[in-house]
Amino acid sequence: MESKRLKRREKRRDFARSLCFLSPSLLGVGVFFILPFCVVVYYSLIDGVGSRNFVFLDNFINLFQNYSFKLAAKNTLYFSVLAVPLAVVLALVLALMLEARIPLKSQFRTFFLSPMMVPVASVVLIWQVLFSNSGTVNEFLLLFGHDKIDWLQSDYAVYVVVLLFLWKNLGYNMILFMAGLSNIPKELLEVADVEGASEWYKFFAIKLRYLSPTVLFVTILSLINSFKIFREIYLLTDDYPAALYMLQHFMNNTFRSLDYQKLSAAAVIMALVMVVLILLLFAIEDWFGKDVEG
Amino acid sequence: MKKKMRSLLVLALAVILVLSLCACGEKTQEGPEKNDKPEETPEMVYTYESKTLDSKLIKDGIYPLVFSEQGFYGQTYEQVEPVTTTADQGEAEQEGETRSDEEAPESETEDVEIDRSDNYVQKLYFVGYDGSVRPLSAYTMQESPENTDNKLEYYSGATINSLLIDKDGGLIAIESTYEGWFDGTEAELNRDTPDTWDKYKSSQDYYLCRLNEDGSEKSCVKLDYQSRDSWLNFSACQFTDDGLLLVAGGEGIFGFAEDGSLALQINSSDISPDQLLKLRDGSFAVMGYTDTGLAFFPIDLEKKTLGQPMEIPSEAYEPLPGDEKYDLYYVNGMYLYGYRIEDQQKEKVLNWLDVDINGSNLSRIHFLEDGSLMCVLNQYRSEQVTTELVRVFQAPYDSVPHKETLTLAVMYGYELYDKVVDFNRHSDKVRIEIVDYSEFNDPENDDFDAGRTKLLTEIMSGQVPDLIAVSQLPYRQLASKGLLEDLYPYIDADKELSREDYFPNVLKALEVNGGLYQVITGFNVQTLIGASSVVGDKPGWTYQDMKDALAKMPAGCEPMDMYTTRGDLLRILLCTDLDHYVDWSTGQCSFESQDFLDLLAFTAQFPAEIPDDLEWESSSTRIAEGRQMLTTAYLYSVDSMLWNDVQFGEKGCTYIGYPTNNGVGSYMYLSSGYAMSANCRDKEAGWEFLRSFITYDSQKNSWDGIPLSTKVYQEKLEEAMTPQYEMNEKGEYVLDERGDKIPQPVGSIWMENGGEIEIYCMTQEQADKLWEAVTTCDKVWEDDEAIYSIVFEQAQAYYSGQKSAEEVARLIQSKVTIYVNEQR
Repeated sequence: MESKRLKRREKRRDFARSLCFLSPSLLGVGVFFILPFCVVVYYSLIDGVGSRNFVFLDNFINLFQNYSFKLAAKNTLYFSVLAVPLAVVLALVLALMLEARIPLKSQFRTFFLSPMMVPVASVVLIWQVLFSNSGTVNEFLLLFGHDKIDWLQSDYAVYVVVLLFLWKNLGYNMILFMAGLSNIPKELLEVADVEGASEWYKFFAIKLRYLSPTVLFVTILSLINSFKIFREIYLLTDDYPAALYMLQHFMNNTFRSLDYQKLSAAAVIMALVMVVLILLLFAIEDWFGKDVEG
Repeated sequence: MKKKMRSLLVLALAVILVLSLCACGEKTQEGPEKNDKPEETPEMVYTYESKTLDSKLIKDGIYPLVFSEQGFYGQTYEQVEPVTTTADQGEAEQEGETRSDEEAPESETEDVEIDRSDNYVQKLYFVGYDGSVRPLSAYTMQESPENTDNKLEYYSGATINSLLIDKDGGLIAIESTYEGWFDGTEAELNRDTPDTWDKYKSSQDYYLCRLNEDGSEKSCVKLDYQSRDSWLNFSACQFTDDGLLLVAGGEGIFGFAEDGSLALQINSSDISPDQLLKLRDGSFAVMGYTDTGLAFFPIDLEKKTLGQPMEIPSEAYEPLPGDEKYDLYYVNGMYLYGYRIEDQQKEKVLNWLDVDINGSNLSRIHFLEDGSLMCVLNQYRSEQVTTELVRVFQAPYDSVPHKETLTLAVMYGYELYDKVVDFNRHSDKVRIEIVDYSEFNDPENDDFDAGRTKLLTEIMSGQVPDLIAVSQLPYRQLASKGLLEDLYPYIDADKELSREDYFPNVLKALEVNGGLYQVITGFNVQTLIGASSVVGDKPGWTYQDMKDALAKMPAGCEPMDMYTTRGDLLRILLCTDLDHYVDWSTGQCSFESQDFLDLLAFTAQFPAEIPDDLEWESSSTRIAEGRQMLTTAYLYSVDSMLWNDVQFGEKGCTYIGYPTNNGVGSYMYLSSGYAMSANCRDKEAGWEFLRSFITYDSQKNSWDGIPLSTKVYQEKLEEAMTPQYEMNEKGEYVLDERGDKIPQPVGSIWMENGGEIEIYCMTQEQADKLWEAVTTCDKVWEDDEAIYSIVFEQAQAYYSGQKSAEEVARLIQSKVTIYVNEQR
């Protein structure tokens, strides 16, 4: 009995000590993340900073009826649905190719990793030179008798930005997959070889299962990076790029026009969507990788 | 023990880490002081008592020259009455009269009326601090030199430079006479070469005159100072203990004895010496310039040298003697500063507004022996000048009545100071404190937006000032968020004011969702005018109408003046016609319409920029020669139309407006606007202040564009329509041969193609045209800058030929649609 009490006391002391160490981080996260988020939620539920009348979900209802928000949400969803799977799949393919010991492997790896080192402004400059109305790509098209395409102002703009996104992020994703691949127990693969399993079977039954946490991580990372593409789009275009008008454009512009209620409501919706998506991804990963050791 | 030590160490580490999260912020830029409720009440506060001088005696203000403990001596400039004199044609021309040959007198000598109404004389007064005024009626100035040698281009005069009080209390006037002439032949004068300017000579003599109490002269000596190109600054001269008069000038420091002889000279032209100051220790210093800026140089009278410079702020160019706390005081803007030379520290001692003084009206200040500050203010209000004496002193905090404070946020609010001071003096319960956010700007780094950003941030975080000058703020967004108070209920409840008193179209243009959230004092209207025979009699037309009219003009005729760029025109046309392209209620846009394509095509014919070497030609000349069809009209006052109409002469003109698809294509610029916060601490007092901008008296005395009040507008219109007739010196009308009164022009304008054209009073036809131009205007210039930026940026591709008008219109349509829906 006494020893149980002592153990409990020791546990409480340990917990208190841990809290002391954690408190600066907890305080920082609380002050700079949780508290502002609570303020944002509060702003989304009132009608203005002047009167501060509680309007419940009116701001959200108005938002769902707003053309600009709907366009931004649609564009963001379309871009993410297009770019994120491509970023994951292509990165996995590249990682598998590197694992297969292709010639010039080192150069191949450097080629895909180097975009990570290039500053955003330089990337944007290059893309502008290539895809502006009088850019290099259009010059090529003209050479072959094709009309110019306004790449950045037309419906093709999303594909240009997907290309930019993949170019920028494939390298890092590839490295993550390579690390994941190297952690797969070689004995399992050898046993599969001995038992005459095909490459496809080995990939889907063994490698992919072991890679499921990595796939989850890369997917989440790519999803987050897909929102950050706003930076490149803003530099390539302007405040109102019709085909590339994303949720962050909407929030940036509403912030500038002091419409904090719209901005806060959009931010809350975006946060909820992200939470649901990530929970879904975790659930899929849990189910898919349940047979994997550890 | 070990465990305890470990626990303590852990705790200490955690505390250190937490403390490191606290921002060690940079020193924020100094900004305006805010009168937030102080935690501790100060022991002493500044307060004041004031006296207004009798305006019958001092009509046009008085400038103090020297102070004593009982009052000050000052000078005024008073107008001389017009006189009739005998003069010949030559003298009349010399006086500036212009006459045509028909008006030339028959003989060379004839009675000619010479209007001396532009002549002023200096007069001296003693003003007691009790408000009494005594003219120094026996005072006469030195005689101006005469042109005894018939010098060419000769001019001369005399003036009072300064008044001084010597150690015995005697009054001294420092006067000067001056003359200038051309030191060459008439042929050299007519040649007008660069060498000609070197032949213009001038000279100046100074006199030290001792005066009696009534201003009569006791004695007068000429100062031994040979007239040179440089002058002496007697406004800041000093008497030494042994009676030497010290004065600084362009070349150095000079000391004159009682008999006027030059007793001391210290050459120092390299520092451009200016003012003299007596320091706390009784010694003297002269203000001059070093490589780094303004400085004081101590004067060693025995060695006749200057000491090492002591730097002072560049704005302290009119310093006042210091006391035990500061080496000197000076006024800069709305503050009195104290400065310590040793540690080069300047401190704000007093904000003039805190003692209900508009610092812009200060003529001079003087420290009295009891430590209080005597201020002389000359306030100019609608052709009248009021002179006031204000004594500022410190009193115990509890002895001064304290009022509730309302803050008024402004950006460069100097035009408000008089209003705020008036309000504070008359209000028993509330005082308004100005917080000027322009002080947060950083001119050294070209950041002129910092103040506005700070104000907006504070507003959006809920710290809304009680009253706000909204001219540079997104007024409509603030109003639509419920941050501003609707003023219509206050106007409706006001016994003296009514909505019907004001131009309804202007009020409508100011409204946000049916409410009025700012008051303005006036507005200007910009539109286009053209000859009635070309554009028709009725205002308002479309692009097609304009093209048709232009087709009738001679070949090569341009639609507008030579300085119109496509960017300017695009902005104006969007402003006047935006409702045609944007439906704010539904969020629909129609930039892909033919009308917008026509607008793009129309603006494309104008240049992108005006070349620097473009030779200027007036619009009136181009219109008269048929090379220009329209010109821009600015209606900034009730009679401004007269100066617009004269360009078309007998042909007559119509205020046709810019081409538009609905209504008349004109727009208005608003004067400064003022609003009240929805959370204002005292809304009744806030309204009391705001209403002062739109009362009848305020509107009548405002020169801020066309008045908002229709009553004041009508009165000014009647004044502009009242004909002026020639009168003689007895106040009788002068009649022509038929016995009719002779109309007098209200002004004139120089036209290249017509010489000087006189302008007469307004006709009823012009009055009707003005009324129509003003009342049909319902667009405001400041709105929708974002839409203009989008359109202008995309239109560049069309103007440069990279894209077709349809492609550009499609892009604009999608972008503006997004923008419009963001705002809904």
